[in-house]
Amino acid sequence: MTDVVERAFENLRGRVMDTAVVPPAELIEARGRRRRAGHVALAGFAVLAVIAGGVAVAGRPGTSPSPVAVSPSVPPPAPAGSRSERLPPGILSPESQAAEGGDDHAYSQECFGQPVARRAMSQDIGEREQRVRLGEALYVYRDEATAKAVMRDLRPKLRQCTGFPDEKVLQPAGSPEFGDEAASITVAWPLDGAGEHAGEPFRLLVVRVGTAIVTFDGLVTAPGQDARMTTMIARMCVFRSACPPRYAQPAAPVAGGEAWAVAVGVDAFAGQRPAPHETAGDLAVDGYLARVVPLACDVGAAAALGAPPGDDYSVVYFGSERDAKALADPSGLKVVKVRTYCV
Amino acid sequence: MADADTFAEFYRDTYRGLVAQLVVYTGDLGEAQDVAQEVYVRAWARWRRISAYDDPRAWIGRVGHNLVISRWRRARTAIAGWTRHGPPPPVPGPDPQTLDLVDALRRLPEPQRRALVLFHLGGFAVAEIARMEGAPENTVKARLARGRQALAPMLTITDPLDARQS
Repeated sequence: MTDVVERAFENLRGRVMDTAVVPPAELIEARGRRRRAGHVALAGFAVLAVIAGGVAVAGRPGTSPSPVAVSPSVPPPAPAGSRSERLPPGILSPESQAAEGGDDHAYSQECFGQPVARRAMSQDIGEREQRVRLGEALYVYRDEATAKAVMRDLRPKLRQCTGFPDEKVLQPAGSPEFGDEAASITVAWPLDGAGEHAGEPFRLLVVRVGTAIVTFDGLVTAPGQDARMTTMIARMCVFRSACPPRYAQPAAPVAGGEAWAVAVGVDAFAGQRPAPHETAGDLAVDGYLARVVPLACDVGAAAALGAPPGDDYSVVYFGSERDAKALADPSGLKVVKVRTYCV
Repeated sequence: MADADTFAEFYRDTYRGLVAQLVVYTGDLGEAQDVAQEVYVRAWARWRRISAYDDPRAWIGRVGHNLVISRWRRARTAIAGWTRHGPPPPVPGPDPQTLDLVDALRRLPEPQRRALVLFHLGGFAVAEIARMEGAPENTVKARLARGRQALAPMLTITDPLDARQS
């Protein structure tokens, strides 16, 4: 009888030995170093993304057209592709110091419904055993009523949405004064990993501003949390109906139309790693929400920016060069004349 | 450099063994590999201390087990999960025997399950398991024996060799 047990274990072990691929030790060490340093090693993430199955290409143009000069009289062939609803890398605070981030993270629909766009990051604070991880996630909804409904549904299940529904509540659910409305709860950090910080206060703070909800989670004892919250909530101005742009009014792209593009950032892996800079966040404070667009969809952009057409870029469009420069020049950003497609 | 070399060697030698243990707890090879990688990232950060332990495998086994439990708790309500980036790598599905074993193990009391996993998949001796579990050796032996007894009939039904013999 017990031979059956032995065989079953041998079979399982053999199957894992045959199928489990050992990632290079360098990859593990790179992840460890990133956490230690508290910032991102970009090359490591590129390797990670490739090992994890390659870059998602869905929604991008299948074949990248060669950039051609924009000519109002002879429009170039329209590239195929689509513009997805994505939040620009660098909109989170402080994303440039994050250990991990992107917009392909797992999240609970039961807690946060169905946002049209989302982005999240985590930051490591402290060294080695004393290290704590702070999380931040931004969810944008199709309208303010939907965001309000998500908050309303979230409040009674806030404890469950901490991820630690069975842990002791140290501070019951409350409504602190942040943004348009907010909810928070503090529970005891459970035994996790090697057991560091078990029992310490872990807070989930959820703040709604306009059509967006941001969550901050982490041990209360970690320093610098007030600053990141204040910065992030200021950036959410862009999700309010009344958040006038500081300079000129941006323009909406039109299929085959010309526009002046303020290039906020270019990154092939922006969906899977945090941004090295927070320009998009700075622009959001001024009322500008950059779009994430395949470079191939904006003819002229890839060549002007010296980037592969298969990459994405974050961009704010304007109807005139003067308007574009008003936003770009103070930040040292590049202005590119493009013809917009995939709209 | 010596630290880096010994970590890489330890990692290569023990990775698949840890994944095999974690498959039992997660029931999913891809998730087991995610957790295993997280365990080694944590081990790397503490390698100088962990490498001085009598058996660092015990540390990674314990941390892996705790992480699985944490992930399971968080998976129900996850605020944001991070370990996996991009599309998951293609992982062959488990065969029926693996599923049977994982399913059967889940029906055992936790101490018995842990003892069986550590013994059969972790490759630990009874004395080592006793130290890790903080239990007398005889207790571990009893858990192993009872666990095997309980498992056997659950596995016999679907084992083709045994089915032919009966």
